[in-house]
Amino acid sequence: MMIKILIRLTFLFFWVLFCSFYPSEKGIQVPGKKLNKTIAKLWKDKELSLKELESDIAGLCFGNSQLFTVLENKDILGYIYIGRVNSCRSGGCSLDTGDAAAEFEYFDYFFVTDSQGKVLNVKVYNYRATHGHEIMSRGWLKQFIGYSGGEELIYGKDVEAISGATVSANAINNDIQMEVHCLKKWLSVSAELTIN
Amino acid sequence: MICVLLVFGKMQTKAQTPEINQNTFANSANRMLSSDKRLVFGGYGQIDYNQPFGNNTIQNGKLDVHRLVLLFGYNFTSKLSFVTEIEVEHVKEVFVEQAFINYAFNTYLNIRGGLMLIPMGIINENHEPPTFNGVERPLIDKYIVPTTWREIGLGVTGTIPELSIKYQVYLVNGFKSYDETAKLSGKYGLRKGRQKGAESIIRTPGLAARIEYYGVLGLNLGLSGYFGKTQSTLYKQIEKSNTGEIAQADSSVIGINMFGFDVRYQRKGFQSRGQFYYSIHSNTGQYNYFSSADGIPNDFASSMFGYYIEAAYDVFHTSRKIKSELTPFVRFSNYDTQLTVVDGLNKNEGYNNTVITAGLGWKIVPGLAIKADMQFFKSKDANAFSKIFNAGIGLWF
Repeated sequence: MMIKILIRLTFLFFWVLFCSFYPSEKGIQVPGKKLNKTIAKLWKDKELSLKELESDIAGLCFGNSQLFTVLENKDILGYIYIGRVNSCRSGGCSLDTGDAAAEFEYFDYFFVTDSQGKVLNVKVYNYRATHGHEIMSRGWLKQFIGYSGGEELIYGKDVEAISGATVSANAINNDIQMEVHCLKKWLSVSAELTIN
Repeated sequence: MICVLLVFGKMQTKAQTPEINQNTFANSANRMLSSDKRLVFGGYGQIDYNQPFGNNTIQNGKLDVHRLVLLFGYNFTSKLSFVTEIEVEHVKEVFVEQAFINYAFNTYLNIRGGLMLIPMGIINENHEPPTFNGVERPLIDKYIVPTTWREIGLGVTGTIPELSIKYQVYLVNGFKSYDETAKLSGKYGLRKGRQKGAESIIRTPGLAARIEYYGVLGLNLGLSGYFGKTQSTLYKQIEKSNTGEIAQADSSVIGINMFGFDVRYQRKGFQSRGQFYYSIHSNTGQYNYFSSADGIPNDFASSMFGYYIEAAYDVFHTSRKIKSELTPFVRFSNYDTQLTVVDGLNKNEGYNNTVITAGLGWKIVPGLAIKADMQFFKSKDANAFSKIFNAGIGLWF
């Protein structure tokens, strides 16, 4: 009995190893279903379309992440930012330095803003870190709704700290602020251009 | 891009290229996603000062680099990774505390195998010193759950974000209850039976499982279970027909059903925690008599339990200028490593302990805390509280 279980487990183990050597997809996957659902909820009864911004500008500002415009016909209703945050294991690379860099533990998330860059919704959809999964909680992410690049959000004060998720929670708090700032900057520059 | 096209179907994906001076964004371009560092390095540690006093005695204090742990992680692919923690205790004792590979299918499912932490309660898995209040770990996480409890095993873990649930289910090796002498006792409970993955022996693996709910802002609820039998060196080349030797070996084994329940709540600078453990053991009658020493039966309990409740408040919470945390806390705890014993054995009231810990932690940055506290201990058979002053540095990077 025991032996049979062991053999099966051993088989499973090697199968997993084997599978892992197949090339896996690189980069951030866009969570289509979740995204569609979220924007449909935010802009009810509107015919929405998304347009990805692929300019050098977006690339420079947002790195490997992606930025979409939410459109109804030609009117810009809002923006969607999709990006990856390196979270690190607890005790697994520098805390809070912003350039931790190691793609060792990370999560992917998106946020939706209105046309002025004010956050309307945040969702973490791909969590690849051993700790800190609590940041996926809808209740916690709600705290970022309404943020539009104003006063700094201090982790533990303006944004509730989560015990056991310090690294991830800090990381997403920093990242949202950084990306919103970036988006706002980009918006103001493109607005200037339109006027000119 | 293929993925995007597939996902959005009819949606337009035409590029938009406004002409803007690129320098505008140079400073905010500090995303480092393109770098490909596959190796991570980290660590944590605590340096403690423990000074017992009172009861009209003069006692030495202790200064100790209690733990220094170095963590290495390596990503073979984006889904397959290896994690190891190498721990140096008291400067000179080296242990491998964790060494496992993890294969991540997706958020919902990971397969993990190797030397792993048993998911029981808060501290066994989350023991980086700045993450808990007090210089030393709570005592129930020493005597009831023998942290850092780790064994070699295999299992699955994942998160179900839609339900705000995290789960872990592992088949793991058990404690060693017998190795020429008894390893389990009334005084230390299961602690001396940990095999820690070092030339460990196995006949029957145990099951360790934990489920966590984190759906409400500030709240985390956890339920843990461990079910298994201990291992014994007596199962050594016993012929299957030798019922006598088998019966003897069976007497050196006990069954363990352990349950843990924990709550963490954190809101507006207020932090509280509660932890409850209950461990039921079978076959302890045979085990205790079999492992008698000098004619006196062993005193390993039929059940143990322990709990603590803790409250803390960050007094700097309301100040936007001060970013560090200054957190006074108080913890009340009771545990009994002999809650019940088999008939014929006397309970030792000295194993029923009440501990009150009160102290202060100053978290200068999230990864570094300076701590000080007073602990008051009283066993049920003692008349007065004994006291220890603790101070220390806890860090994590």
